[in-house]
Amino acid sequence: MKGFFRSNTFKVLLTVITVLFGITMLSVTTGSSSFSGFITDIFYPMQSAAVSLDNSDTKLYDGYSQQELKKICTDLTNENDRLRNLLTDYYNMKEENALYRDLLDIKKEYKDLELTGASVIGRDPVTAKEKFTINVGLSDGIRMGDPVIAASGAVGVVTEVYDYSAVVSTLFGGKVKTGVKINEATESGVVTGGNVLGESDYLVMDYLKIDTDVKEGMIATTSGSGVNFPPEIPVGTVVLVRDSSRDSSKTALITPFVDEEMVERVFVVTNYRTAYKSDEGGE
Amino acid sequence: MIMKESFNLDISKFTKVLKYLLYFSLFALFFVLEGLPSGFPLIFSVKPMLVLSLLVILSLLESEMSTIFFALIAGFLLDVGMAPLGVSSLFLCIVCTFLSNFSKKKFHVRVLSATLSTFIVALLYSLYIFTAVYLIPGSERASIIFVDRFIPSILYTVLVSPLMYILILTIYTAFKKKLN
Repeated sequence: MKGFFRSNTFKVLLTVITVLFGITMLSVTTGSSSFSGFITDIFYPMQSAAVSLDNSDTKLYDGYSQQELKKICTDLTNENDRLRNLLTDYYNMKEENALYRDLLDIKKEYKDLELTGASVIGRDPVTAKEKFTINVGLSDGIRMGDPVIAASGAVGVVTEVYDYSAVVSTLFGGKVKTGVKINEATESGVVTGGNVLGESDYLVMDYLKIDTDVKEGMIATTSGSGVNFPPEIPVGTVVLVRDSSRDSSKTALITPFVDEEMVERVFVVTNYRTAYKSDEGGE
Repeated sequence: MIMKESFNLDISKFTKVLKYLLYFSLFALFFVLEGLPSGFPLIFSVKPMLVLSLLVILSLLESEMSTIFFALIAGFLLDVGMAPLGVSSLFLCIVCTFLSNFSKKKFHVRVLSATLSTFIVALLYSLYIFTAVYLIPGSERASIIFVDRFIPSILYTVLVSPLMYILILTIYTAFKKKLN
């Protein structure tokens, strides 16, 4: 090896390395690709000849040449892209349409309510039933305590509000105590999320009269009393009436109309306090 | 007599030039094959480093001076579209010249030693390029690229190297006979 370090070959190698180091530094710092382009230009004729040979019109598959197959493939890819875009538009429009339809239904039913449509943008996998985040906030006129409803009924209340988002605590959330009534049985009370094992999927309506007429299948709606919801918004269906564990009163278990874990589109009532609570205050 | 010697010298020079032209054509051919979509069968979506394999075999058989020349060519070809110009040449000039010197003195060039040499150079070269092009710039997919692209390519190159050795040895022996 000693002989090699003294040889002319080593000197040539050193010279070449020095020159190459310079070229490398130059191309790294300036990003110069002119020499690279020169090399590509040298081999371009050979490459293009090879490509055209590669694309020769030999019938390869089922009577189609490679060129024909390539054209068919390109056409199908383009068609596929176009249809995929159409499908995306279709789904967007479908979703938008559903949102507007819900909005229209609610607007028809609750003419005085000012509603702001919102989409659910975040759910914690553990507390999905208790709260979720929506894509509207202070900038959209949302305030703390605003009621949140969906096309099929009451959902919850805004409990945290930021500039462009808000957190909604659902009827199961514990932070919300909603006044409800059952018109068929002239009963009213407060519902909270079930906190007993086996009842966590139900809303619980406590303190019903001992001789209550509430039966399975009856509909519970908001009563308008309390601070949370306007009256007559559907809450759910009574599925069970049982004795209370605390006293001699009765307790009703209610299945909510809105699936809190799955709901995607909701509406925030932004004028509830001014339109309803001020009226009450005036009275 | 002098005329005959002069004629033999010319023939010898011509044969050498012919040999180097043939080697250069092989570099060009393999460069094109590497770049062509259907130029060489894909295994795990990669092709072998044919130019690198050719260079390693040549450095085992030819002189150190020739190796420097071939390493320059191979390096420039490998850098096209892959790395900043000169990066590969710099590395290959050093590694292959030492390999060439080492092979003349320390071991007999056979299929196994040629395959092993190809594996070592391909591995070192891949690590070098991976570091320069993906690791230092902080590419997010660096590890995936190394596992998905570099490792299969190294193995494929090693797989092809015995065939490359046979091809180059045939050319080398034929020219050597002619020169003798």
